[in-house]
Amino acid sequence: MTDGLPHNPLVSRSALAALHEAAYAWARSLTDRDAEAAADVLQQSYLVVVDGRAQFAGHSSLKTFLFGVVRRIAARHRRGRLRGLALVRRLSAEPATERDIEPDPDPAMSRAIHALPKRQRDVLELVIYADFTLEEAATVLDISVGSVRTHYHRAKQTLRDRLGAGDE
Amino acid sequence: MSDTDLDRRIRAHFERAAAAEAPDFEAMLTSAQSASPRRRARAWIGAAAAAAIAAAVIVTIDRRDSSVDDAALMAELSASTHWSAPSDVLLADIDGSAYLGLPKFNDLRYRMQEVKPWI
Repeated sequence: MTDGLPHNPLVSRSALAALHEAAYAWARSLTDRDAEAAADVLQQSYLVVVDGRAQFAGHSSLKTFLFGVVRRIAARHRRGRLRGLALVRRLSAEPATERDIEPDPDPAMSRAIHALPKRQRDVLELVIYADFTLEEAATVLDISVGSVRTHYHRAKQTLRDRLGAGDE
Repeated sequence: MSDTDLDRRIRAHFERAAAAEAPDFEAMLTSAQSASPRRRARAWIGAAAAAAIAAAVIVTIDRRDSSVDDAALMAELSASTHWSAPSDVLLADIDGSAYLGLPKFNDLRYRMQEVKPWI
């Protein structure tokens, strides 16, 4: 590998670059579509990969490894962010800025997906959108394949039921 | 609805949700690679640039490392981020941690890196 990272030799810059957009999308999903927070999470994820604290051993795909790192950093980031938000409420009278909201061409699906438990949403996104296998999604989320399979099928059945009921 | 149609609608939902331009990869990775060991050794910045609220970025500093004093930390951060302490900085102590409210400069988030405790 010609462009491997010094502290993570099995990770190449070019491979990371190829995963960048997908990793950012995953970070956005884990931060409630907050672009600023997602950038922070991804930046922190790259940092721990670059300095070798998150070490890629080649037991999975790089994509699986990176998505797992992003998930762990996002969880830590969320805990820190909640403390930061509490501080802001105490120290600032200025309201938080509102995010732009674009028209949704399939609001029924959006409502149905947002009503799912978080873990089920994550599994759907990883498997259907990010093209992970159930086994890879289990590695990313650090849960068993059986759990992923259950979440996956329950989520789809729930969506089918809700959308079917809505169509009638 | 067929399984294929359901998957297509789910995929389309996530595609719309993900539709946003990613930050520049090279800038992010280069910044991560350039975080100096000396800077990392000064203190621990937990969740860097955690909240984009009002016009500030909130940085949490864990005070477990008692060898780091505010003035030294300010100087260190100021040197690496271009903002001028203390006029641009809001510092508060809550529950044993220090919180800095920093002006949001374009390059700030990519320069604020984790800084490990002094060993």
